[in-house]
Amino acid sequence: MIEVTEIAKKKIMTLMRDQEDQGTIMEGVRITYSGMLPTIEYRLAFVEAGKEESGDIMVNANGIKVFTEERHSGFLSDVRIDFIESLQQTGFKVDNPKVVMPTVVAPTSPANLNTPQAIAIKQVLDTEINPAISGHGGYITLLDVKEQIAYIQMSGGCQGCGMADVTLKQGVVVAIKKSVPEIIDVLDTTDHGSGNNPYFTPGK
Amino acid sequence: MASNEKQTLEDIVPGHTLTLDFQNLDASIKKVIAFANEHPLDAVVSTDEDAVTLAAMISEALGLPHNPIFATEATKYKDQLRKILTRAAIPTPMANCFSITDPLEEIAQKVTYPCVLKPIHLSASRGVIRANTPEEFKSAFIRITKILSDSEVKRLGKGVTTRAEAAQKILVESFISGEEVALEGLVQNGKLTVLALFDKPDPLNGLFFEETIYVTPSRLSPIVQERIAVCTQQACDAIGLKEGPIHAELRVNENGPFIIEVAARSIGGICSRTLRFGLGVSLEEIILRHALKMPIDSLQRQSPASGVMMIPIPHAGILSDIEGVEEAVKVAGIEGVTIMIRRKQKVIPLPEGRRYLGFIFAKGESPSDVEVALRKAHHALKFTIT
Repeated sequence: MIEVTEIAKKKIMTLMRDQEDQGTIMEGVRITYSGMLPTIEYRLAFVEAGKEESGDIMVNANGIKVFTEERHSGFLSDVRIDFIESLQQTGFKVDNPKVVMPTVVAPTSPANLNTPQAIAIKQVLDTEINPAISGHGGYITLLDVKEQIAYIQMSGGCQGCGMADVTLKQGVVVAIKKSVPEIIDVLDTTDHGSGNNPYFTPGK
Repeated sequence: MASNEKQTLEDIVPGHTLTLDFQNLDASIKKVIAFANEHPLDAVVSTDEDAVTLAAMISEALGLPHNPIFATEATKYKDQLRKILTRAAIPTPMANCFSITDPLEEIAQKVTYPCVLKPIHLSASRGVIRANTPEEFKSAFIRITKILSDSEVKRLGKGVTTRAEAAQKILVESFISGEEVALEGLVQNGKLTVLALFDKPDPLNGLFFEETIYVTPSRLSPIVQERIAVCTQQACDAIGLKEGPIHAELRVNENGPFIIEVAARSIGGICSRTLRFGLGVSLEEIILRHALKMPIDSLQRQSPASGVMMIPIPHAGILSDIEGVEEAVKVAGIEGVTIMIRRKQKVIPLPEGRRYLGFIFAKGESPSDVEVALRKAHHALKFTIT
């Protein structure tokens, strides 16, 4: 069952009215997801009247028509669409209680860096990644490996670097997954705001 | 992702990043074509002004949709932009371009005051100075000449072979009084859609033109907003912009809107975080979806009001301490405070500098609520620069 909270319903209806004022009639919203467990990202989008896609299934949730692709329905069956408005965050929030979303902090249970996966990842870091990023004064440490997710911390020139995200996603993740295919994601736990010597400072 | 700095892990994981020499366009294009043969590309999007022309040239070489190269050049070089807009009878400051080697005394007597001096190829108000008298003019001219001698500034001026002399030029244009606004738009097949119109409530009358607060929606009347949109569309037509994001800056007074800038890129820095569309889509996603010809659900900005403050650098020095961030974040309506410059780093204010201390983001029921929140939060922040 897909749940749309009252506040989310109110917000969706307001936005749909705004769209109508602009001359576009909306039928409902489509929910999709990307990524793989446990780092699924949900996305909401309007569905214009008459532009529903074949293969969609439609659920009436609290008066809002929610469309999903049939092949995704398994992942979306227990989704809750909420709207949060706080000092820190404003926007739609999609939760699935059956999917445990990781927070990007290292697990609190004692790290076990002696597993075959952890040893293999440390090998990649020590022999490939760290020698390469040392030229920028950077260093990456493996903190833990839990449920096929590697938790790392960046330091030196990587901490607060404007290119740290590219280094992570286009470099570290790819290199680790290539060497240790069973790893499904690499999460960065670094407090980049505290980096005092980033190699590249963000522009503007 | 391609950049002009080598990604540290490029050799370890080839095929994911690409290093281009932004000053050698032909070599960059060849390199991308070779890359695309093994890793087909669907679109080329420049993330900032430096690479808009290169992105257009690469797109042309790969047969991908793009803005005409001459149009991207015109948005990069202010002297070209002024010529094109003036020729098309679009309201814009009257301008003359001088070489840094021209006889200063003579020019100072020739120009009309008040005027604004600016390098032709820099952005973010860098090197922009107002002069009210010949003495101020000479002082500003010398100051800008010094900025243009900076090696990084020279490099930026060498991006395109035809404008290798960009770092030798200073544009002098009439000062246009009035309120300043920034228009964020998306051009699709030549047609401009206004994504957001930002008021800039802090007066920008010189000596320097430091950006501070941007608030949307605009508090200008709907008629004036419509005139701004029409004027910007006419400017895009005159320049030849056909596809992609634009960021335009205009002055508005009793004579209507005047185009100050039109850039073939989106809003700079991390200011775009203040914008969300439809059900929460970011500006960057909209730009990528447009480039990839993917469906875009809505170009309507989420209401009600939002804004950003670019935190100005009060004076040059070393940033030794930052206080009050927690207090600033607690101000009603504040969505976040992001400090961009780290402690112990050198800070340089305008006109020589090009960065801000950070950004404050706010949301509220009305533009005035947002403006009040941004000012309160800024007041709570204390930067110690020694």
